[in-house]
Amino acid sequence: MASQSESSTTSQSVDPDLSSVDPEVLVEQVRPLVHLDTLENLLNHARANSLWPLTFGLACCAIEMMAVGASRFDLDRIGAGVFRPSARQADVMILAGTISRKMGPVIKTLWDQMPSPKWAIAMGGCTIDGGPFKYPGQYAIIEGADRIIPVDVYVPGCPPRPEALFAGILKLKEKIKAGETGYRRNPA
Amino acid sequence: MTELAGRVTSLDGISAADDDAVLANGCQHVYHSQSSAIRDAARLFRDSDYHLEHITCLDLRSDEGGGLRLSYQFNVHGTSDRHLLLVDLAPDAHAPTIVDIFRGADWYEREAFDMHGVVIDDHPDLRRLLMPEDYTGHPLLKDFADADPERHIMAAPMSEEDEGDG
Repeated sequence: MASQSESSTTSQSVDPDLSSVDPEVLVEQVRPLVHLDTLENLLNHARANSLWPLTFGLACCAIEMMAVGASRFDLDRIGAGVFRPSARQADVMILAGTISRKMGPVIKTLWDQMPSPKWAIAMGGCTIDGGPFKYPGQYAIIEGADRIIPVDVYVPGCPPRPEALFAGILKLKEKIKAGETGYRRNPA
Repeated sequence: MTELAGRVTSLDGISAADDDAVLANGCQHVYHSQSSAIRDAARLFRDSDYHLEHITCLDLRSDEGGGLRLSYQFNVHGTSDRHLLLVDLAPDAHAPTIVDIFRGADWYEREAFDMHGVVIDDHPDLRRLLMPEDYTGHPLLKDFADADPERHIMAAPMSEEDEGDG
């Protein structure tokens, strides 16, 4: 949608679902410059039904994520089972597991390498706020995925059941169809 | 006391610990050692076909004093015969490497350096093992305080001109 960047910026209010996100992270949320409603709706419908996740697991939640992709739960039923081994081909980053401080810069790099539109799902307690590893003076982890990238859907649990992640992906589909376009500004 | 234990305690700087220490940790033989004797003991265990089970470090400092304690465990396959070598160090003391004797000591010694700041002399590659390379401080020391907890958070810098690339 590169042609859209020729017109003036439209101002929109911040999505209420993101009100809990750190304002500095929210800055990354960018709206398209022109709305071609019918076309956008059609595209959003297509995007919502072909979410390609990044093949990317951080810890034990990744085991549940694999279960979601396998036959019993079967992400392919909603078109989200095409795990891509390259960030360049992925639409959604499922953060499945503890984010260590050493891993943080790697995740940020992967996120920046994903082309817009793109979305992120924080799966499990660790990616929501640090989970069981959060205590005063801890030196090892980043306390929540939304401290390094913007997150669209939070899936609680330790780890969440596969059904819960499935519900999270369905929730993300709802958001996309409702106009959560997933355009992100690239870092300077 | 086995024949091997007798040879270990006959080394300079090594003495057998009392029975309480033996009961406390499940090793049949426990020794207190000077750091200068680590390498001699390691050679003795290697030549007796023992392997290095682990090296770990403890911070035993308290108001009454105390320092860091390296502990080396040597086991053998076939029989239940575990030997534990305890090395008490001053907080800023160095310890000799045993990487040239037991290759598997490499990452254990790097971990002791990373987490407790124990400098291992003559180690071939003494880098941090677990923490980021640019980290400062040694997290498992009791007086550790994170110099910059936000350092690896990196709120993304944005420019106004750079719009979405959709």
